[in-house]
Amino acid sequence: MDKILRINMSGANGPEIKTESLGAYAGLGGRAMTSTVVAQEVPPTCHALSAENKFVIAPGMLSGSAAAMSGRISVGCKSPLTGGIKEANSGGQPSQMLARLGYAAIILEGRPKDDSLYKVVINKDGVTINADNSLKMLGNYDTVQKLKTEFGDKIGCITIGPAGEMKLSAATVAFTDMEGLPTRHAGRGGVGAVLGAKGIKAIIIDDAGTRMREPKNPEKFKAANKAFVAGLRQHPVTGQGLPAYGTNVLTNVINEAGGYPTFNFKQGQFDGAAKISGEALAEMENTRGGDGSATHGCHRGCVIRCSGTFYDKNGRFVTKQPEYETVWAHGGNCGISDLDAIAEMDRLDDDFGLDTIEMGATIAVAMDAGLAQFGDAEAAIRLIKEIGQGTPLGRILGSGAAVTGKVFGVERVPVVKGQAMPAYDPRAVQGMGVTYATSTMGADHTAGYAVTANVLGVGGSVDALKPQGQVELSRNLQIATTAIDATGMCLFIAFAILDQPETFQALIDLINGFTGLSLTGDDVSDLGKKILSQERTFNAWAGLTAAHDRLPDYFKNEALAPHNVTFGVTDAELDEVFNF
Amino acid sequence: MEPDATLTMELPPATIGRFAALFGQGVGIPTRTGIPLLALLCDQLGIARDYIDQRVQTFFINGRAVDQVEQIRVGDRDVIALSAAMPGLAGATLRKGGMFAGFRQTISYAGGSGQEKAPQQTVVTLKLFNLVARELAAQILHTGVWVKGPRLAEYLQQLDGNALTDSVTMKWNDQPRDPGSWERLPWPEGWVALRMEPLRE
Ligand code: SF4
Repeated sequence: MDKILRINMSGANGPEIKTESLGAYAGLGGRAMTSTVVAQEVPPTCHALSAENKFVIAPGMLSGSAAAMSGRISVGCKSPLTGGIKEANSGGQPSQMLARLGYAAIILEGRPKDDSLYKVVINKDGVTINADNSLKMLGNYDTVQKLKTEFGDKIGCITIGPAGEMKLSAATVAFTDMEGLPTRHAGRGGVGAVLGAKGIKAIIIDDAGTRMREPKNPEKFKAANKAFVAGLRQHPVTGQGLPAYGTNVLTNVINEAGGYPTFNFKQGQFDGAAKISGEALAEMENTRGGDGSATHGCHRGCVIRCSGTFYDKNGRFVTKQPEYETVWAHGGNCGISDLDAIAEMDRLDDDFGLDTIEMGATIAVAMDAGLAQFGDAEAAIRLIKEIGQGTPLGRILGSGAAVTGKVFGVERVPVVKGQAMPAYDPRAVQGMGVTYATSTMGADHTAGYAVTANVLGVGGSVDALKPQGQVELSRNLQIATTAIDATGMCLFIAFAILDQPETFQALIDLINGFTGLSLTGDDVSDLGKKILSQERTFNAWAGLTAAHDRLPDYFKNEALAPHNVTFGVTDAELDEVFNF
Repeated sequence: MEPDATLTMELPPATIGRFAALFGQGVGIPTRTGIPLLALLCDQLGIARDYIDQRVQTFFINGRAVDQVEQIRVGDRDVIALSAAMPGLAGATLRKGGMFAGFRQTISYAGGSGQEKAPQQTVVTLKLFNLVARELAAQILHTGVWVKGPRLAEYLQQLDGNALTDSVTMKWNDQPRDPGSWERLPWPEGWVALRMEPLRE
């Protein structure tokens, strides 16, 4: 990966394509690349949909190589949802393909002079960009199908659906999976709206004629990759739990803990949880059968394979296996306990290009506003279809939970910095609440997901039983997560690393074997700190202050059943999180 | 304390495996209050201590996350839930005795009714999730569990195909019955003691 593709959509004679050397961005990948480019090149006060904002796509550091788990891709920009910096990442094939074509980043800037919609084609011979208005308002599935007819089945696609074209703040960017379907999404923060504002409907990648990226030290790399894979396979979470049940394995357990947000965060347990649990989903998928039904990877090179494929009762493909957050958002949070209905909503979200977490949270807010009854799956599906049709109500809903709450006068709106909370009630799991409140990304469960802090030596002497300890741990977790996001590795590797120091060492050896560097755990941690610091600085200049690092008041005032707990971390403690 | 009926079935091991999901919402286990929880799990139900220590990484009593299993005594009508290690920060947070336990301090288990009161008969609810359900269900069904009549009938109803015609023997209150006739059994509102024998293949 030795070059950057830059496309200026504001060119006097139409879009201008430039290929540049890496310059100051050399050595960066994934979130490190996207956040550095945004921090360096985007005016923090610009409007997220303006010509001044930039849309950055960056494969992970090790993407395109034989390293296991290395095929995640990051996108970054100023977010129309949070008003701050955004990195969202995804699985799918494009990361590996772009990396093999040598691109460390694609930077899209400016804005087209008219309302034409463009497609970008990248292959070993170079890059072209052309208007193609025949793609207008097509869903992601039809778009990709049309592109495959034109360019062949082997392409990888990065696309937006109608939600992105309408520049809605819950819009995603879709990435095609191993089967060439647009099931993988950079979901959060309205990144699809920014790509839509650039006038780009699709990026088509053809890596024919390219080769796998070669490591600098093949022997070390090969041995480290072997140890890394062995570590992932032997760990009960990455080797057994996730492949068997997917992330939805969490439903029963979070529900048992009383931390499963139900009926728009009104209670912590849902009576229908067992019916939509990972266990029930796996049983259904195994009974219905079909290729990759219960265990499947989101990209080639994944050895955990937490995903799967959802077929309806007649064996027809519906969508990829819905993840825990999706099942929760469209399920328990809306009082819905029908897996077929949830899968249909996942499919609609993917087709229109909508964030499943934001949509589930939004529909629950709409239910609180009286637009539908909790538990009414048909009404929920109808509301999502309003978005696809671009009706005025649909555009409100597609703008996310905060806007919907405002329009319909709902007080209970579970957002931080305008972004909806995921599937863990912060009153039950308070450390998660600290991360929701203070993450640079808005309420985000993955921000403090990587439980590697102790191995990285940054968990240190924390007394986790004191609020101060929770603050310190949350800080360390956010640093560690940011570092993993920079490598482009799937965050789920974190579980094996937590318990198996030798697997963490294998990861460091893998990076060093590939790059020829001699990084240590401390260096990786420093990288995480550096990225977070520049994200915080961007947000500060964008106008996000300590007042934005807060949960909505009702989490402090309304006790959550069954444990009757409120969020108890004080504002002063929250303000300590980024004190490094 | 006696159940209202008994149901004993002999089934192929694979069919018994399909009853693992019964544990997701919990089954009744008759026992006594005040006994150590580990005695219930290991001595009464036959779960190996190593298994509890290593495989069961997530442990709840009455919805509260447990850190030290050794200190717990069974309380009246406790709900005991066991799970393997879970993914994500939330999963790590709920793990027993993990470094992130402080993240869920407000929902951690801090003693219960089993400690002080005089011993008495009780039925606790045992929930098993994910890999733990898959791995322990057959063994515990062999030991025997109690399920309320309507719930058991409903569970059997939703098992599709010929899951129950695989049953070679079925005894209701120790009387042999035709396995295909389970729907016509006089299901009580109260407890049915259910036991499953693996059919030798
Ligand atoms: S573990 Fe899951 S999310 Fe991670 S790379 Fe594999 S399939 Fe994708």
